[in-house]
Amino acid sequence: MIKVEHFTYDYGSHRAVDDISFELKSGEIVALIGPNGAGKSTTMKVLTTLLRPCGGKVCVAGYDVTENPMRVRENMGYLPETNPLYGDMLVYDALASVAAQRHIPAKNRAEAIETAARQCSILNVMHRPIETLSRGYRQRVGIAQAIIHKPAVLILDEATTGLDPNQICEIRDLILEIGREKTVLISTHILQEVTAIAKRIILLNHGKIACDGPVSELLGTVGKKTGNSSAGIEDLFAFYTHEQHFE
Amino acid sequence: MNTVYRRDLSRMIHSSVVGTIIVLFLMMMGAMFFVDFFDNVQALNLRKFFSQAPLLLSIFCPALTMGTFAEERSHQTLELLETMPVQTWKIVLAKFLCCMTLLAVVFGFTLSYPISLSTLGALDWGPVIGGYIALMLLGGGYLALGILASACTKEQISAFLLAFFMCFALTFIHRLSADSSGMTATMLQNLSANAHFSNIARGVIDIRDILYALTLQFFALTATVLVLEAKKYPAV
Repeated sequence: MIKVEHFTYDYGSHRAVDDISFELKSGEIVALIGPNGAGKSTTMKVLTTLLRPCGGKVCVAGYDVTENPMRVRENMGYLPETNPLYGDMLVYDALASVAAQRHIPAKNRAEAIETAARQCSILNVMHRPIETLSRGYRQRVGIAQAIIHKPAVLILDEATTGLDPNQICEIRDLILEIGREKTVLISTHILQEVTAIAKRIILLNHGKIACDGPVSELLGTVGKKTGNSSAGIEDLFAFYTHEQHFE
Repeated sequence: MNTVYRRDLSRMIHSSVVGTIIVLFLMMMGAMFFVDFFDNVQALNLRKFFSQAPLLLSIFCPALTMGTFAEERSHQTLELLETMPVQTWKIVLAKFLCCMTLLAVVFGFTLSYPISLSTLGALDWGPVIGGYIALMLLGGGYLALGILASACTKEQISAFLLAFFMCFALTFIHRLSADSSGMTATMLQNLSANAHFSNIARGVIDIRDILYALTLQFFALTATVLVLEAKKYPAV
Protein backbone atom coordinates (compact mmCIF):
# COMPACT_ATOMS: atom_id res chain seq x y z
CA MET A 1 0.00 0.00 0.00
CA ILE A 2 2.90 2.34 0.74
CA LYS A 3 6.20 1.72 -0.99
CA VAL A 4 9.20 3.96 -0.43
CA GLU A 5 12.42 3.22 -2.32
CA HIS A 6 15.67 5.14 -1.81
CA PHE A 7 13.77 8.27 -0.90
CA THR A 8 15.83 11.37 -0.14
CA TYR A 9 14.84 14.94 0.63
CA ASP A 10 17.05 17.99 0.92
CA TYR A 11 16.34 21.41 2.40
CA GLY A 12 19.00 23.35 0.54
CA SER A 13 22.31 21.83 1.58
CA HIS A 14 20.76 19.97 4.54
CA ARG A 15 19.73 16.38 3.84
CA ALA A 16 16.58 15.82 5.91
CA VAL A 17 15.86 12.29 4.65
CA ASP A 18 18.70 10.16 3.42
CA ASP A 19 17.99 7.19 1.14
CA ILE A 20 15.27 5.42 3.10
CA SER A 21 13.22 2.46 1.91
CA PHE A 22 10.27 0.70 3.50
CA GLU A 23 7.00 -0.93 2.55
CA LEU A 24 3.65 -1.06 4.31
CA LYS A 25 1.15 -3.77 3.50
CA SER A 26 -2.61 -3.60 3.62
CA GLY A 27 -4.10 -3.78 7.13
CA GLU A 28 -0.88 -2.80 8.90
CA ILE A 29 -0.72 -0.14 11.60
CA VAL A 30 2.82 1.23 11.61
CA ALA A 31 4.30 3.88 13.87
CA LEU A 32 6.83 6.27 12.42
CA ILE A 33 8.87 7.59 15.31
CA GLY A 34 12.10 9.42 15.90
CA PRO A 35 13.54 12.47 17.62
CA ASN A 36 12.82 16.00 16.42
CA GLY A 37 14.44 16.70 13.06
CA ALA A 38 14.70 13.01 12.21
CA GLY A 39 12.71 13.45 8.99
CA LYS A 40 9.28 12.14 10.07
CA SER A 41 7.28 15.20 9.07
CA THR A 42 9.12 15.48 5.75
CA THR A 43 8.37 11.83 5.01
CA MET A 44 4.72 12.36 5.94
CA LYS A 45 4.50 15.44 3.72
CA VAL A 46 5.94 13.59 0.75
CA LEU A 47 3.56 10.66 1.31
CA THR A 48 0.63 13.10 1.35
CA THR A 49 1.88 14.92 -1.81
CA LEU A 50 2.49 18.19 0.04
CA LEU A 51 6.15 17.93 -0.98
CA ARG A 52 7.84 16.24 -3.92
CA PRO A 53 10.80 13.93 -3.23
CA CYS A 54 14.32 14.96 -4.29
CA GLY A 55 15.26 11.41 -5.10
CA GLY A 56 13.92 7.86 -5.04
CA LYS A 57 10.41 6.59 -5.59
CA VAL A 58 7.45 7.02 -3.27
CA CYS A 59 4.19 5.21 -4.05
CA VAL A 60 0.92 5.28 -2.14
CA ALA A 61 -1.86 2.84 -3.04
CA GLY A 62 0.14 1.92 -6.15
CA TYR A 63 0.47 5.50 -7.44
CA ASP A 64 3.65 7.53 -7.61
CA VAL A 65 3.38 10.75 -5.57
CA THR A 66 5.26 12.74 -8.22
CA GLU A 67 3.65 11.33 -11.34
CA ASN A 68 0.13 10.86 -10.08
CA PRO A 69 -0.53 13.00 -6.99
CA MET A 70 -4.29 13.23 -7.64
CA ARG A 71 -4.68 9.45 -7.56
CA VAL A 72 -2.61 9.33 -4.35
CA ARG A 73 -4.88 11.93 -2.74
CA GLU A 74 -8.00 10.05 -3.80
CA ASN A 75 -6.77 6.91 -2.05
CA MET A 76 -5.32 8.53 1.04
CA GLY A 77 -6.75 10.13 4.16
CA TYR A 78 -4.61 12.54 6.12
CA LEU A 79 -4.83 14.13 9.55
CA PRO A 80 -2.12 16.80 9.86
CA GLU A 81 -0.37 17.43 13.15
CA THR A 82 -2.24 20.67 13.81
CA ASN A 83 -5.61 19.22 12.76
CA PRO A 84 -6.61 22.27 10.72
CA LEU A 85 -10.36 22.77 10.57
CA TYR A 86 -12.64 25.61 9.49
CA GLY A 87 -13.76 26.60 12.99
CA ASP A 88 -16.72 28.67 11.84
CA MET A 89 -18.32 25.76 9.98
CA LEU A 90 -20.79 23.29 11.43
CA VAL A 91 -19.43 19.75 11.75
CA TYR A 92 -21.97 18.49 9.21
CA ASP A 93 -21.10 21.23 6.71
CA ALA A 94 -17.37 20.58 7.11
CA LEU A 95 -17.87 16.87 6.44
CA ALA A 96 -20.20 17.61 3.51
CA SER A 97 -17.62 19.96 2.03
CA VAL A 98 -14.86 17.36 2.33
CA ALA A 99 -17.16 14.67 0.90
CA ALA A 100 -17.81 16.86 -2.15
CA GLN A 101 -14.11 17.63 -2.58
CA ARG A 102 -13.42 13.90 -2.32
CA HIS A 103 -15.76 13.40 -5.30
CA ILE A 104 -18.24 11.28 -3.36
CA PRO A 105 -21.39 11.25 -5.55
CA ALA A 106 -24.13 13.55 -4.20
CA LYS A 107 -26.56 10.65 -3.69
CA ASN A 108 -24.05 8.81 -1.47
CA ARG A 109 -22.81 11.80 0.54
CA ALA A 110 -25.35 11.67 3.38
CA GLU A 111 -24.58 8.01 3.94
CA ALA A 112 -20.80 8.59 3.81
CA ILE A 113 -21.10 11.45 6.32
CA GLU A 114 -23.23 9.36 8.67
CA THR A 115 -20.91 6.36 8.46
CA ALA A 116 -17.78 8.44 9.21
CA ALA A 117 -19.57 10.36 11.96
CA ARG A 118 -20.83 7.17 13.57
CA GLN A 119 -17.40 5.56 13.39
CA CYS A 120 -15.86 8.61 15.07
CA SER A 121 -18.77 9.04 17.53
CA ILE A 122 -19.57 12.60 16.56
CA LEU A 123 -23.22 12.18 15.59
CA ASN A 124 -24.27 14.19 18.66
CA VAL A 125 -22.27 17.28 17.62
CA MET A 126 -23.06 17.36 13.90
CA HIS A 127 -24.87 20.69 14.06
CA ARG A 128 -22.44 22.51 16.30
CA PRO A 129 -19.76 24.94 15.05
CA ILE A 130 -16.38 23.24 15.13
CA GLU A 131 -14.83 26.06 17.17
CA THR A 132 -17.16 25.27 20.09
CA LEU A 133 -16.02 21.64 20.33
CA SER A 134 -13.50 20.21 22.80
CA ARG A 135 -10.08 19.24 21.51
CA GLY A 136 -11.01 15.56 21.61
CA TYR A 137 -14.09 16.13 19.48
CA ARG A 138 -12.15 18.31 17.06
CA GLN A 139 -9.64 15.49 16.68
CA ARG A 140 -12.51 13.13 15.93
CA VAL A 141 -13.85 15.53 13.31
CA GLY A 142 -10.37 15.62 11.75
CA ILE A 143 -10.28 11.82 11.63
CA ALA A 144 -13.84 11.67 10.25
CA GLN A 145 -12.76 14.02 7.44
CA ALA A 146 -9.79 11.75 6.74
CA ILE A 147 -11.85 8.53 6.50
CA ILE A 148 -15.05 9.83 4.89
CA HIS A 149 -14.07 8.56 1.43
CA LYS A 150 -12.97 5.16 2.78
CA PRO A 151 -9.31 5.55 1.79
CA ALA A 152 -7.01 2.56 1.49
CA VAL A 153 -4.27 4.42 3.37
CA LEU A 154 -4.63 6.61 6.43
CA ILE A 155 -1.80 8.89 7.52
CA LEU A 156 -2.05 10.40 10.98
CA ASP A 157 0.46 12.94 12.21
CA GLU A 158 0.56 13.24 16.02
CA ALA A 159 -3.11 12.22 16.28
CA THR A 160 -3.18 12.11 20.09
CA THR A 161 -0.95 15.05 21.02
CA GLY A 162 -2.56 17.48 23.46
CA LEU A 163 -5.44 15.18 24.41
CA ASP A 164 -6.33 14.18 27.97
CA PRO A 165 -5.91 10.49 28.97
CA ASN A 166 -9.57 9.64 28.32
CA GLN A 167 -9.49 11.28 24.92
CA ILE A 168 -6.23 9.47 24.09
CA CYS A 169 -7.89 6.12 24.89
CA GLU A 170 -10.89 7.01 22.71
CA ILE A 171 -8.76 8.07 19.74
CA ARG A 172 -6.53 5.03 20.22
CA ASP A 173 -9.54 2.68 20.06
CA LEU A 174 -10.76 4.52 17.00
CA ILE A 175 -7.42 4.13 15.22
CA LEU A 176 -7.30 0.42 16.11
CA GLU A 177 -10.79 -0.04 14.68
CA ILE A 178 -9.90 1.80 11.48
CA GLY A 179 -6.62 -0.15 11.24
CA ARG A 180 -8.49 -3.46 10.89
CA GLU A 181 -9.31 -2.60 7.30
CA LYS A 182 -6.85 0.08 6.24
CA THR A 183 -3.13 0.70 6.18
CA VAL A 184 -2.41 3.23 8.90
CA LEU A 185 0.84 5.14 9.26
CA ILE A 186 0.95 7.11 12.47
CA SER A 187 3.66 9.51 13.52
CA THR A 188 3.92 10.20 17.23
CA HIS A 189 6.18 11.47 19.98
CA ILE A 190 4.21 9.60 22.64
CA LEU A 191 5.99 6.28 22.90
CA GLN A 192 3.20 4.62 24.89
CA GLU A 193 1.03 5.15 21.83
CA VAL A 194 3.38 3.06 19.76
CA THR A 195 3.01 -0.08 21.85
CA ALA A 196 -0.71 0.49 22.30
CA ILE A 197 -1.52 0.96 18.63
CA ALA A 198 1.19 -0.25 16.28
CA LYS A 199 2.46 -3.71 15.59
CA ARG A 200 5.45 -2.38 13.70
CA ILE A 201 7.87 0.52 14.21
CA ILE A 202 9.92 2.51 11.75
CA LEU A 203 12.38 4.61 13.72
CA LEU A 204 14.06 7.47 11.90
CA ASN A 205 17.18 9.17 13.15
CA HIS A 206 19.23 11.78 11.28
CA GLY A 207 17.13 11.13 8.17
CA LYS A 208 17.95 7.41 8.08
CA ILE A 209 16.04 4.35 9.21
CA ALA A 210 17.60 3.32 12.51
CA CYS A 211 15.33 0.30 12.89
CA ASP A 212 12.27 -1.19 11.22
CA GLY A 213 10.37 -4.22 12.41
CA PRO A 214 7.71 -5.68 14.69
CA VAL A 215 7.63 -4.03 18.13
CA SER A 216 8.13 -7.28 20.06
CA GLU A 217 11.04 -8.35 17.86
CA LEU A 218 12.82 -5.02 18.19
CA LEU A 219 12.30 -4.96 21.96
CA GLY A 220 13.83 -8.43 22.13
CA THR A 221 16.85 -7.31 20.09
CA VAL A 222 17.40 -4.28 22.32
CA GLY A 223 16.96 -6.45 25.41
CA LYS A 224 19.65 -8.85 24.20
CA LYS A 225 22.10 -6.09 23.21
CA THR A 226 21.68 -4.11 26.44
CA GLY A 227 21.31 -7.09 28.75
CA ASN A 228 17.99 -5.71 29.93
CA SER A 229 15.38 -8.43 29.51
CA SER A 230 12.55 -6.05 30.46
CA ALA A 231 13.55 -3.37 27.91
CA GLY A 232 10.63 -1.13 27.05
CA ILE A 233 9.84 1.20 24.19
CA GLU A 234 11.75 4.06 25.88
CA ASP A 235 14.87 1.87 26.03
CA LEU A 236 14.43 0.98 22.38
CA PHE A 237 14.09 4.64 21.44
CA ALA A 238 17.14 5.61 23.51
CA PHE A 239 19.18 2.71 22.14
CA TYR A 240 18.60 3.55 18.49
CA THR A 241 18.72 7.34 18.76
CA HIS A 242 21.72 7.63 21.05
CA GLU A 243 24.73 8.80 19.04
CA GLN A 244 27.15 5.97 19.96
CA HIS A 245 24.61 3.28 19.01
CA PHE A 246 23.66 4.83 15.74
CA GLU A 247 25.22 3.42 12.61
CA MET B 1 -13.88 23.49 -7.66
CA ASN B 2 -17.54 24.19 -7.09
CA THR B 3 -17.21 23.10 -3.46
CA VAL B 4 -14.24 25.38 -2.80
CA TYR B 5 -16.13 28.24 -4.48
CA ARG B 6 -19.29 27.74 -2.43
CA ARG B 7 -17.45 27.22 0.85
CA ASP B 8 -15.27 30.30 0.35
CA LEU B 9 -18.23 32.44 -0.71
CA SER B 10 -20.21 31.34 2.33
CA ARG B 11 -17.27 32.02 4.66
CA MET B 12 -16.63 35.45 3.09
CA ILE B 13 -20.31 36.44 3.31
CA HIS B 14 -20.34 35.54 6.99
CA SER B 15 -16.97 37.18 7.71
CA SER B 16 -17.19 40.40 9.71
CA VAL B 17 -13.90 41.60 8.18
CA VAL B 18 -15.20 41.20 4.63
CA GLY B 19 -18.51 42.81 5.64
CA THR B 20 -16.68 45.83 7.08
CA ILE B 21 -14.52 46.14 3.95
CA ILE B 22 -17.60 46.06 1.70
CA VAL B 23 -19.48 48.64 3.79
CA LEU B 24 -16.45 50.96 3.80
CA PHE B 25 -16.03 50.57 0.04
CA LEU B 26 -19.70 51.33 -0.59
CA MET B 27 -19.48 54.39 1.65
CA MET B 28 -16.46 55.64 -0.29
CA MET B 29 -18.20 54.96 -3.62
CA GLY B 30 -21.23 56.84 -2.32
CA ALA B 31 -19.07 59.75 -1.19
CA MET B 32 -17.42 59.83 -4.64
CA PHE B 33 -20.80 59.98 -6.33
CA PHE B 34 -22.25 62.68 -4.09
CA VAL B 35 -19.13 64.88 -4.06
CA ASP B 36 -19.63 65.34 -7.81
CA PHE B 37 -23.38 64.97 -7.65
CA PHE B 38 -24.22 68.33 -9.28
CA ASP B 39 -21.62 67.83 -12.01
CA ASN B 40 -23.07 64.36 -12.64
CA VAL B 41 -26.61 65.76 -12.80
CA GLN B 42 -25.55 68.62 -15.09
CA ALA B 43 -23.68 66.36 -17.50
CA LEU B 44 -26.04 63.42 -16.92
CA ASN B 45 -23.22 60.91 -16.96
CA LEU B 46 -21.03 59.08 -14.45
CA ARG B 47 -17.66 59.87 -16.02
CA LYS B 48 -16.27 61.58 -12.90
CA PHE B 49 -17.55 58.76 -10.74
CA PHE B 50 -15.87 56.13 -12.90
CA SER B 51 -12.65 58.11 -13.29
CA GLN B 52 -11.92 57.76 -9.57
CA ALA B 53 -12.79 54.09 -9.37
CA PRO B 54 -9.32 52.64 -10.18
CA LEU B 55 -7.81 54.21 -7.06
CA LEU B 56 -10.61 52.87 -4.88
CA LEU B 57 -10.36 49.44 -6.49
CA SER B 58 -6.62 49.35 -5.80
CA ILE B 59 -7.51 49.53 -2.08
CA PHE B 60 -10.70 47.46 -2.07
CA CYS B 61 -9.52 44.48 -4.16
CA PRO B 62 -6.38 43.78 -2.07
CA ALA B 63 -8.49 44.08 1.10
CA LEU B 64 -10.99 41.56 -0.26
CA THR B 65 -8.36 39.04 -1.38
CA MET B 66 -5.77 39.36 1.38
CA GLY B 67 -7.20 36.38 3.25
CA THR B 68 -7.73 34.04 0.29
CA PHE B 69 -4.51 32.08 0.74
CA ALA B 70 -2.73 33.92 3.58
CA GLU B 71 -5.48 33.06 6.05
CA GLU B 72 -5.62 29.44 4.89
CA ARG B 73 -1.86 29.22 5.30
CA SER B 74 -1.77 30.84 8.75
CA HIS B 75 -4.62 28.54 9.95
CA GLN B 76 -2.89 25.64 8.18
CA THR B 77 -6.11 24.69 6.37
CA LEU B 78 -4.19 25.08 3.11
CA GLU B 79 -2.35 21.87 4.05
CA LEU B 80 -5.71 20.11 4.19
CA LEU B 81 -6.90 21.69 0.96
CA GLU B 82 -3.73 20.67 -0.85
CA THR B 83 -4.20 17.01 0.09
CA MET B 84 -7.68 16.92 -1.46
CA PRO B 85 -7.93 15.54 -5.02
CA VAL B 86 -8.38 19.04 -6.47
CA GLN B 87 -5.83 20.57 -8.86
CA THR B 88 -4.16 23.76 -7.70
CA TRP B 89 -5.48 25.77 -10.67
CA LYS B 90 -9.02 24.82 -9.75
CA ILE B 91 -8.50 26.05 -6.18
CA VAL B 92 -7.08 29.35 -7.48
CA LEU B 93 -9.89 29.76 -10.02
CA ALA B 94 -12.54 28.98 -7.40
CA LYS B 95 -11.15 31.64 -5.08
CA PHE B 96 -10.94 34.16 -7.94
CA LEU B 97 -14.55 33.51 -9.02
CA CYS B 98 -15.66 33.81 -5.41
CA CYS B 99 -14.06 37.28 -5.15
CA MET B 100 -15.49 38.25 -8.56
CA THR B 101 -18.97 37.29 -7.36
CA LEU B 102 -18.61 39.52 -4.30
CA LEU B 103 -17.28 42.34 -6.49
CA ALA B 104 -20.29 42.02 -8.81
CA VAL B 105 -22.67 42.12 -5.82
CA VAL B 106 -20.92 45.23 -4.47
CA PHE B 107 -21.19 46.98 -7.85
CA GLY B 108 -24.82 45.89 -7.96
CA PHE B 109 -25.43 48.07 -4.90
CA THR B 110 -24.04 51.11 -6.75
CA LEU B 111 -26.55 50.73 -9.60
CA SER B 112 -28.81 53.04 -7.59
CA TYR B 113 -26.60 55.96 -8.73
CA PRO B 114 -27.23 55.70 -12.50
CA ILE B 115 -30.85 54.76 -11.84
CA SER B 116 -31.35 57.92 -9.75
CA LEU B 117 -29.63 60.00 -12.45
CA SER B 118 -31.87 58.49 -15.15
CA THR B 119 -34.92 59.83 -13.32
CA LEU B 120 -33.57 63.36 -13.75
CA GLY B 121 -33.08 63.25 -17.51
CA ALA B 122 -32.18 61.17 -20.53
CA LEU B 123 -29.13 59.31 -19.27
CA ASP B 124 -26.93 57.77 -21.96
CA TRP B 125 -26.70 54.17 -20.72
CA GLY B 126 -23.91 53.17 -23.15
CA PRO B 127 -21.03 54.75 -21.19
CA VAL B 128 -22.63 53.58 -17.92
CA ILE B 129 -22.73 49.96 -19.05
CA GLY B 130 -19.21 50.39 -20.48
CA GLY B 131 -18.11 51.81 -17.14
CA TYR B 132 -19.43 48.86 -15.22
CA ILE B 133 -17.84 46.42 -17.67
CA ALA B 134 -14.57 48.30 -17.19
CA LEU B 135 -14.96 48.14 -13.40
CA MET B 136 -15.44 44.37 -13.52
CA LEU B 137 -12.49 43.88 -15.90
CA LEU B 138 -10.16 46.10 -13.92
CA GLY B 139 -11.49 44.70 -10.63
CA GLY B 140 -10.81 41.19 -11.94
CA GLY B 141 -7.20 42.14 -12.71
CA TYR B 142 -6.69 43.66 -9.28
CA LEU B 143 -8.37 40.71 -7.56
CA ALA B 144 -6.03 38.35 -9.42
CA LEU B 145 -3.04 40.41 -8.26
CA GLY B 146 -4.43 40.34 -4.72
CA ILE B 147 -4.77 36.55 -4.82
CA LEU B 148 -1.19 36.29 -6.09
CA ALA B 149 0.04 38.46 -3.19
CA SER B 150 -1.98 36.36 -0.74
CA ALA B 151 -0.39 33.16 -2.10
CA CYS B 152 3.08 34.61 -1.50
CA THR B 153 2.72 35.18 2.25
CA LYS B 154 0.93 33.96 5.35
CA GLU B 155 0.44 37.43 6.83
CA GLN B 156 -2.78 39.03 5.62
CA ILE B 157 -1.44 42.54 6.15
CA SER B 158 1.65 41.74 4.06
CA ALA B 159 -0.61 40.37 1.34
CA PHE B 160 -2.69 43.54 1.43
CA LEU B 161 0.32 45.86 1.25
CA LEU B 162 1.99 43.87 -1.54
CA ALA B 163 -1.20 43.79 -3.61
CA PHE B 164 -1.94 47.45 -2.93
CA PHE B 165 1.55 48.37 -4.12
CA MET B 166 1.10 46.38 -7.34
CA CYS B 167 -2.39 47.76 -8.05
CA PHE B 168 -1.39 51.33 -7.18
CA ALA B 169 1.68 51.07 -9.41
CA LEU B 170 -0.42 49.75 -12.30
CA THR B 171 -2.98 52.53 -11.82
CA PHE B 172 -0.51 55.40 -11.90
CA ILE B 173 2.48 54.03 -13.84
CA HIS B 174 1.67 56.29 -16.84
CA ARG B 175 2.43 59.34 -14.70
CA LEU B 176 6.09 58.33 -14.45
CA SER B 177 6.67 59.76 -17.88
CA ALA B 178 6.76 63.56 -17.94
CA ASP B 179 6.56 63.60 -21.72
CA SER B 180 3.31 62.30 -23.18
CA SER B 181 4.93 61.26 -26.45
CA GLY B 182 7.83 58.94 -27.18
CA MET B 183 8.39 55.24 -26.77
CA THR B 184 8.67 55.23 -22.96
CA ALA B 185 5.45 57.16 -22.58
CA THR B 186 3.65 54.81 -24.98
CA MET B 187 4.97 51.80 -23.12
CA LEU B 188 3.88 53.21 -19.75
CA GLN B 189 0.48 54.12 -21.21
CA ASN B 190 0.09 50.55 -22.43
CA LEU B 191 1.02 49.20 -19.01
CA SER B 192 -1.22 51.60 -17.11
CA ALA B 193 -4.56 50.22 -15.97
CA ASN B 194 -5.93 53.74 -15.70
CA ALA B 195 -5.27 54.52 -19.36
CA HIS B 196 -7.05 51.35 -20.52
CA PHE B 197 -9.84 51.85 -18.01
CA SER B 198 -10.57 55.43 -19.07
CA ASN B 199 -11.19 54.29 -22.65
CA ILE B 200 -13.84 51.77 -21.65
CA ALA B 201 -15.32 54.11 -19.04
CA ARG B 202 -15.92 56.68 -21.80
CA GLY B 203 -17.98 54.05 -23.56
CA VAL B 204 -15.25 53.23 -26.10
CA ILE B 205 -14.83 49.48 -26.07
CA ASP B 206 -11.49 48.64 -27.66
CA ILE B 207 -10.48 45.00 -27.88
CA ARG B 208 -6.95 45.97 -26.71
CA ASP B 209 -8.31 47.28 -23.41
CA ILE B 210 -10.31 44.11 -22.83
CA LEU B 211 -7.29 42.00 -23.75
CA TYR B 212 -5.17 44.03 -21.31
CA ALA B 213 -7.50 43.21 -18.40
CA LEU B 214 -7.88 39.56 -19.36
CA THR B 215 -4.11 39.19 -19.81
CA LEU B 216 -3.50 40.76 -16.39
CA GLN B 217 -5.94 38.30 -14.82
CA PHE B 218 -4.47 35.34 -16.68
CA PHE B 219 -0.86 36.15 -15.77
CA ALA B 220 -1.61 36.89 -12.13
CA LEU B 221 -3.64 33.70 -11.69
CA THR B 222 -1.05 31.60 -13.52
CA ALA B 223 1.66 33.10 -11.31
CA THR B 224 -0.45 32.19 -8.25
CA VAL B 225 -0.65 28.55 -9.38
CA LEU B 226 3.12 28.52 -9.97
CA VAL B 227 3.83 30.05 -6.55
CA LEU B 228 1.67 27.42 -4.82
CA GLU B 229 3.16 24.58 -6.84
CA ALA B 230 6.73 25.82 -6.34
CA LYS B 231 6.33 25.48 -2.57
CA LYS B 232 5.97 21.72 -3.04
CA TYR B 233 9.36 21.38 -4.67
CA PRO B 234 12.61 21.23 -2.70
CA ALA B 235 14.51 24.50 -2.31
CA VAL B 236 17.70 24.50 -4.36
